[in-house]
Amino acid sequence: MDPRSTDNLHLHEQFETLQQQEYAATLGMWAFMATEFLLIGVLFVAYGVCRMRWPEAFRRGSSEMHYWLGFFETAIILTTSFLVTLALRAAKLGNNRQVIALFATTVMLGAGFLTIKGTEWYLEYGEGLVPGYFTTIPTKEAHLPPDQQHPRPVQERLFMLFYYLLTGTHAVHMLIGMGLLSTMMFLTARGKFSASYHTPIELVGIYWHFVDLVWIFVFSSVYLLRQ
Amino acid sequence: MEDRPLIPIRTYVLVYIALMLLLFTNMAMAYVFLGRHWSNAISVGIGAIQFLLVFLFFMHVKYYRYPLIRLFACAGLFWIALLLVLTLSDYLTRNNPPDASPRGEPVFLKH
Repeated sequence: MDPRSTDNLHLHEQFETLQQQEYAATLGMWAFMATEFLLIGVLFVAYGVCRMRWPEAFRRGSSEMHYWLGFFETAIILTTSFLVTLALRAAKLGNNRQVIALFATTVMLGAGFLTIKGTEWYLEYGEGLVPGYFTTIPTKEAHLPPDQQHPRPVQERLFMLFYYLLTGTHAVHMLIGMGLLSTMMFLTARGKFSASYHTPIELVGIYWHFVDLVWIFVFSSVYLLRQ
Repeated sequence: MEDRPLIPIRTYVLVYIALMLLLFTNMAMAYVFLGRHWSNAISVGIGAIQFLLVFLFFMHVKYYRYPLIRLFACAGLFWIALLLVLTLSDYLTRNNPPDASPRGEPVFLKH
């Protein structure tokens, strides 16, 4: 490498080239992603096992989800993933203004996602679905005579517990992702990245797509299994 | 050597359109009565296709030139597969414990 190149500013001493450094960083990121897959994978497997054991109670749980809100959340998160890929492409081309604009939009859409999520949790609280305040008789049927009520099976509480664990873990990851994207935005604005050096942006992109992947499965296996 | 080649925007747009179409399909299929098993299989299956599209194209796993990175990327999924298969091979073959009804009928509180 040309010793006068500004890329040398980013090259750490243990690496020979920026490409080698990026290779090592990407490999490390994927090793971290494997641990993330395991973290969330355990929850999904436990959820699957319980679902097989009490299919009727879990079906009832899924049918009480606000799946239209879930649908909008999924559409938002798929869009953010798309925007992040465009941002990575822009970073590769050295178009920093575009990177900032795309990341800002992503963070705002992420905030929109969390707002809808919060609304959903609030609605479920009102419906007596939160595990700690779980009511066997649905709140809206509480005033009806007992023969017109449709009591919830107790295992539905377990379903709700999984639902909160999965969506809560996802929301925490999303907050971290939004923080990382904002940091990248700030660093890009300060001119820290260029067409030849933008590894942190690539790595944060991988993290954001992971958040997307988790949600895809939350939506298709928690919200939509209503039959 | 460039680790990841520049991918045309068209590819990203096509993948995004495919993801959104799959989302609409999944949502629509949830309203069609097909019976529990078919409905579940279709919903999770569509989720799996969306997962693969994001994993391969958006996360660039398809485009990495270094096989070791791809191996690392697939390692996490391999471990989940192992976890799922070994756990289910236990749960699906053991006798039901007394508290679980064999067909999974709901249990209601007495009071």
